[in-house]
Amino acid sequence: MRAMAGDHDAFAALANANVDRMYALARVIVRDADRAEDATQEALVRAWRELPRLREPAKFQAWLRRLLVNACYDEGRRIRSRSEVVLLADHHPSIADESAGVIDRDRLDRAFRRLPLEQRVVTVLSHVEGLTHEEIAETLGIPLGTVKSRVRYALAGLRSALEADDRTPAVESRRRAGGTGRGA
Amino acid sequence: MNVNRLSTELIDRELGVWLRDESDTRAPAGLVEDVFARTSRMPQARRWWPPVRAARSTGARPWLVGGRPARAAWPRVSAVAGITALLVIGVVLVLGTPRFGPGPGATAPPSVNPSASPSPSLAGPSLPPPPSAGPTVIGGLAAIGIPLGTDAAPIDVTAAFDAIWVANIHAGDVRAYDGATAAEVARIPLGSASWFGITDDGLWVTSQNGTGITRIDPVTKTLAEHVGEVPPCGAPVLALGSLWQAACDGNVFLRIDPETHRQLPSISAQGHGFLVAAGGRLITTGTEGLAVVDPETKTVTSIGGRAAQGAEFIASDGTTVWVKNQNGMARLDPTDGSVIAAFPYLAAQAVTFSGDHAWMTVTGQGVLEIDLATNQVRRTIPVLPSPLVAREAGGALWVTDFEQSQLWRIDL
Repeated sequence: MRAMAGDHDAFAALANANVDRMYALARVIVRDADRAEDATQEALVRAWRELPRLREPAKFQAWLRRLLVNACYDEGRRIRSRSEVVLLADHHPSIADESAGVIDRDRLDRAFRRLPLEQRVVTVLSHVEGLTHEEIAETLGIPLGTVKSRVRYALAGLRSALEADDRTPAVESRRRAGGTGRGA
Repeated sequence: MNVNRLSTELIDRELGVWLRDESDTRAPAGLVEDVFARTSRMPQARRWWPPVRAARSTGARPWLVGGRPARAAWPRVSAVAGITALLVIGVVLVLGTPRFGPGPGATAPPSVNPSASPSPSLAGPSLPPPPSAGPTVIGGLAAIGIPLGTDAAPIDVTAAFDAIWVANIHAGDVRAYDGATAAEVARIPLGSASWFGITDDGLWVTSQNGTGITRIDPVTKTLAEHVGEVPPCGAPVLALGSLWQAACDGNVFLRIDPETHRQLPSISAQGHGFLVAAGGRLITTGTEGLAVVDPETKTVTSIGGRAAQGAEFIASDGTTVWVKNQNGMARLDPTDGSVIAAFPYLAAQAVTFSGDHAWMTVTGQGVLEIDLATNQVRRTIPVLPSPLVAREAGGALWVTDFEQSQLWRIDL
């Protein structure tokens, strides 16, 4: 409440209490440490500016989460506007450890990176934040049906990407090797 | 282990474990300090309604309905604020007395740049109450704001049986309004309400948070039959002699006899989603784009169309299909999925049709009127901040605002 009234130190305390969680969320959404840092910082700056307009302080966490998601969207748009290409991590042909019954995490990572940002956001809010579809809809300000369709398409997209990855020839794996980076 | 043998449930579970592990990280040192430095001389945004002392100075305390008291640390009330409040009072009195207390700027919505680039950022921070309720002017058009109550969350609005109907998903009711007076004439609770379909003797509404679809008797304005035990997705469609409802979670298309109101055998959706009727055919969407549903053979045949992949919603003007996905809105030929026109509005929410034009809602921009012959935007009516569905009826445009729990009637 003090931060809403312009108390800068109180805002710093709020930021300190939330920054790790925000950064962690941004990191899994945008899949890049630098951009996650930029998104987190931008979200916190917006939070400072917009705090007086927060009508329900009890919903501060949801509000902050929404600011962060919007900052992640902006990061994604910035990437697209620069025609930037995300290079993928080294390719591993085996997707699963059959004995353990789990999908290889590098391949999961590559598949996840191929999802549109909107679909990544709903899966992260669901799995990392533990939000229900209804809570995600409220957080993002979108209809519940949109949340459900994004979740569904995310899973379908992951499956498609994993299947495509399974079929990727070795020559492409060499072309794509070199880790995650930024293009021009 | 081949991926083809992985179930969706397993992928989802593994994704969850991986994401939670990936999120086990801490912010880089100095991040908060950087924010602190950036904001140290940055002023905070002003509220969109007047602080208490400014209102008191004008004797206009009732204005604070829906607002909240200012705090001691609020920037000092200046003479400018008082003058602004007085000016606003004058404007409000000239244009009519609102039923609810608006603040500065209440007689006109926040300005927007109609030519602004579409933005995927759906919405900003939690917003104050709608800048206007009751009579006002939007984009030069007379309008009435109808507050639906906190968290009503209206989705669809339609005109049928001499009334305007609004489905409120969070309030869990359907409300009927008199089109001429905008007065509420009926309220029908049913748990969850989202999208409408109209048949000869019924207003059907989906229960997106629940299951199935329910018919409302338009004469008695009471609940009649409930059909289907799977969660619906999208709006119902009257086509080929049946009322159809996609049920994505159940992977079926529900089929209802519009005369007997009984459920007919469903058709497997085969992984497809929303339904729409176009060109005399029942069209759906899937990972491959558009597909056509044949009720006779119970088959779903791919049409194609990349612009329909990842569809978030679809609609039809009767002959063409409109699809919104991550790239914006596209108008497609349902015979081959080819793109007739593209509308790069990433924040498009819905589209409806009336005569020779379409009404497309875009978060942060308003309601766009699109000429169906030229695919050009004729005008933008700045209904802000989050118009969801706009429906033209009786010389007016009715618009739901999902986030602000508001219904607008705009005289065209």
